[in-house]
Amino acid sequence: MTKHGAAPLVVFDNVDKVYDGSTKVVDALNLQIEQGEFLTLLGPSGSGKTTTLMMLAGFEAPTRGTILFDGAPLNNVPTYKRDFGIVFQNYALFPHMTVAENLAFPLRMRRESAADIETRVQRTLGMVKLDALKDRMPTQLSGGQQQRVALARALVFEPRMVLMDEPLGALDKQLREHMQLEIKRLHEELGIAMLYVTHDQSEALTMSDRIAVFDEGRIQQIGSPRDVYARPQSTFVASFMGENNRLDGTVQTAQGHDVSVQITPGGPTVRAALAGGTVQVADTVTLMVRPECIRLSHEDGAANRFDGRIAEVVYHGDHVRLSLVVDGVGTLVARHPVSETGTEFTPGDIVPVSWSAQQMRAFAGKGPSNTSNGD
Amino acid sequence: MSKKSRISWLLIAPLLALVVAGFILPIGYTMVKAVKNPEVTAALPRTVMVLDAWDGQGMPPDSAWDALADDIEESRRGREFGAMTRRLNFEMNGARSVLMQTRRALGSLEPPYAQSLPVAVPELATPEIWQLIKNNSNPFTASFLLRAVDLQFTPDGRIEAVPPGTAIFLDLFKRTFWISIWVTVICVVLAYPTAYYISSLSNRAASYAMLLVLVPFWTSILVRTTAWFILLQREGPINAGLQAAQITSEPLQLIFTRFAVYVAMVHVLLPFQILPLYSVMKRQGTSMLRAAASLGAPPWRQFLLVYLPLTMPGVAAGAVIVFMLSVGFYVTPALVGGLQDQMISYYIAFFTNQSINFGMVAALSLLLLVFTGALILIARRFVPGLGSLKAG
Amino acid sequence: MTRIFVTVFAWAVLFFLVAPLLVIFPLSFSSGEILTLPVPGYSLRWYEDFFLTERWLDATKNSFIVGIATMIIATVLGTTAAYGINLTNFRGKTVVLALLSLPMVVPLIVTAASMYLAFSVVGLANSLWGLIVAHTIIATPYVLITVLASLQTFDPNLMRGALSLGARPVTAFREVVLPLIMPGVAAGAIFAFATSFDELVIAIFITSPGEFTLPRQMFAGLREFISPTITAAAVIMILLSFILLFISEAVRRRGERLTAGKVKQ
Repeated sequence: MTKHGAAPLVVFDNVDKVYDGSTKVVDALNLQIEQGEFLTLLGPSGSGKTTTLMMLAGFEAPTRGTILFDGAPLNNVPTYKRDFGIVFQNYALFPHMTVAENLAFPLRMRRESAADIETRVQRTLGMVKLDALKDRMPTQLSGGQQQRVALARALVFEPRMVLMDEPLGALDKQLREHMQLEIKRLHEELGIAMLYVTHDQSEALTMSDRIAVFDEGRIQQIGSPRDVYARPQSTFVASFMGENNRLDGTVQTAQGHDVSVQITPGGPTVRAALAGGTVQVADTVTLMVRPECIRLSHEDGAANRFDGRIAEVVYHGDHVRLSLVVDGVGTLVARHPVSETGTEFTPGDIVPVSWSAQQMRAFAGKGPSNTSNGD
Repeated sequence: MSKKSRISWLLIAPLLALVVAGFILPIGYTMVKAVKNPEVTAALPRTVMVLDAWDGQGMPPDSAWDALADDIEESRRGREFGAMTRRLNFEMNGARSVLMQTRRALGSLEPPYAQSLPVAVPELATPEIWQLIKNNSNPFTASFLLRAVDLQFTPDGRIEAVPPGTAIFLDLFKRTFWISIWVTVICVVLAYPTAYYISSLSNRAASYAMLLVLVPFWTSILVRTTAWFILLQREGPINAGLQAAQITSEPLQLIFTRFAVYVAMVHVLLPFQILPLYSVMKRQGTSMLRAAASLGAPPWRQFLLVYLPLTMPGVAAGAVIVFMLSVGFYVTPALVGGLQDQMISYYIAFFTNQSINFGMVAALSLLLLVFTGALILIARRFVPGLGSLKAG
Repeated sequence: MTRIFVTVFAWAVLFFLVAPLLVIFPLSFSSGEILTLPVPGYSLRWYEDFFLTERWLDATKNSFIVGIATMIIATVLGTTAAYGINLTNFRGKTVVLALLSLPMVVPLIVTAASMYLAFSVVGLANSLWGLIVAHTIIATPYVLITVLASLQTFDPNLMRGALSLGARPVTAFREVVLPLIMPGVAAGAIFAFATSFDELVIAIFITSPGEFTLPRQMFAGLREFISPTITAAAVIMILLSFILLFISEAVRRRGERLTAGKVKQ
């Protein structure tokens, strides 16, 4: 998994975190963070991602296992000696200090000279485009500005690594998307390793080099955004990462990864790619296919071709979402770009529907019965 | 224990240690003193041992006389003798002088004392004093606690009411209770309309009016009592004013009366009732009254059915504080009241500083503490989040 | 009609609260020796007496020594303990809190008598140290309450933030926590000083003439002979209370501003 070929920066070696002697929040975690990478811990609340960050920051001690930084164990290193820049969800700006004083704080703690502090604060403020606001109090700043100050304060002392705990959670959608790019730019400029915790999958997909999807204290899947999105290895990851059509059926034939599945007895079979493990004929499997993979034509390479009746059309500006009823298969949601369609869709119309076998993932056993929605 | 809770304990430890060493232990020490009875055994160890074998009927064996003589001889210089005589005198008036007489007589007497002592000190020839010594040779006694409720042990160990002339404590508890009740009632009656009026003022006017409550609140209880002490003197401003206005021809006896106690205590405690009432009423506002009015309730029903129940927590919180403080009040009644107006606190101070009797100090303290503790437990059921109390 | 009655009643009560204090002022400036109104003439003789008599000066000095020492010790112990209590949800927290606020609810006379009995055993009675210990114990609960209240609005992430930026725990407390809970700490400190400065009952029990505090000296004066010097002493104490009230209100306002300006999320 090492991307840069060098030794990993951080290693979680079989780490457990148990609260109150019984609640296991992090369960046998093994995780490596590479030098300079942007790693996102993604998962629903209570999945253990924030606890993982807190343990790395030194605010929580692992119940079992060790965390190594640059090969040295961190367990007995107090937070103030870890040299990590941390951005908190509520920013944790010191309300009794000006913006410049907030930035100077970590440098003062490191006993830098006054002149040094001045130049570095100035430089960092320039980096996040806040030069004009250095003498304001945090309470006089907008949410976005506060976020930038928090980011600048975490970077000003050139930490060995940056940890961010849902740093954009309090911002509105537009500002959030803007800041995502801003953080991405800073990461590329500084080349510093960043650990980012979020529950927002689109944020994770936009920013990360790698994503670790957490659930119930364990990493369900780790890999590049493309990998995790396109090739989820479990129904949880598939449904957490974006929207999915979900069908349960019975295996008719299985050859390697290639399976054909019958959804309703006596109905047609659909072809899908097995996401992992092995299945036998007559096993129950869950099938998942993303709405954007469903084409409204009979594509040449597509193994699954049907006719569907339009049950509902919802206009979304750049695309339309169609609910399609395919006899013997079920209701599928398709997402169709508006620009390509000169045609109007009307409920009741019959349209050609197709998708490739590779884009339909088959998971052994019945997955969790939550509906397919991660958007 | 996690590392963080260890830090918690570490930070709390200094204060906890101070409070335990300087407060909990002294209180515990005092409570134990309420039942401790070491004086007789300490001063008369031999006598106690001899009397232990005696059945308490008739006269003790002759050896008891010698033991007593030895013990008194031994403790001649120590403090034990005085402590023991005071202790026995508390149980039986006159015991002290009998023992003093015995000590004096022993200087010139020869053994066997069973013959010589009864001649010199005829009181020793009766069983009572011997029974008294025997009864108090136990290291623990209930006699202080009994006396605090006007009961005592008879020489043969039964419990009886003290003679009517010396029974003071039950009256004292009743008086303390009733004075406190009346002070509380008067405070509620005075505070309720006042707090209501202030809460109905504009914010600015209300903060000025509250200043008139806060200034006395912050002024020491002694200073406020002093003010009344001066005002109520025979030649004081109130009598001078009454005479100048020709309402009275003679100065009235105001100071050292029950009236003075009520006036001064109400003055001292009134802010404790106004402050919680005001904060409840301020939060409440008048919107509820308007709602009730809009629903057709006449003013007195609006008040009885809506406003009073809503402001009841303020009444209760203030009343509990006022009552608890007045139960333990000392300075104000001591300065402006007469002897007939004193409360339990006065006697705790009296037994500490004048008639040195720590057993009674401890017994009265214990009863006052139990009484207050019971009050707090009851109050906590009815007044949630009982606020901070400024001690008086 | 009711409105008029309530207004008159309320002002009568407020008059009742303030008038006795106001009466002391003209009396203290009286040129006569009898404490009555109208005063025969005005003079500063009783203030002169106060500031020239060793008893009164010593008592004032003792009051300040005990008051300031109590304020410092109570504030330090109360603030650290409040921080410890606020830090974690350890077992026995409610018991500890109840135990530490006990001095507030036990009748002062019981506290005073018990401390007298126990302090005599260890030689703390009849010393200013004993009085400082006693006053610290009854004053700390107020510090505890005010500091706990201001810690409740303190965001624990600020402490974490300071640690992550390289501050040692003690530095982080001093530079980040303390400035932000200062209104609560200051209010507690003022209350601790006022508690000690006004306290009489314990002083009656555990001080002898050499260690008399101002209230204790006044009490002695009231019981022995009432010299009008007592009115001068009372005026001085009223003015001091007024100053303390003023400071505490200013601190409260500042605290409210700080809370109102809390960093928005």
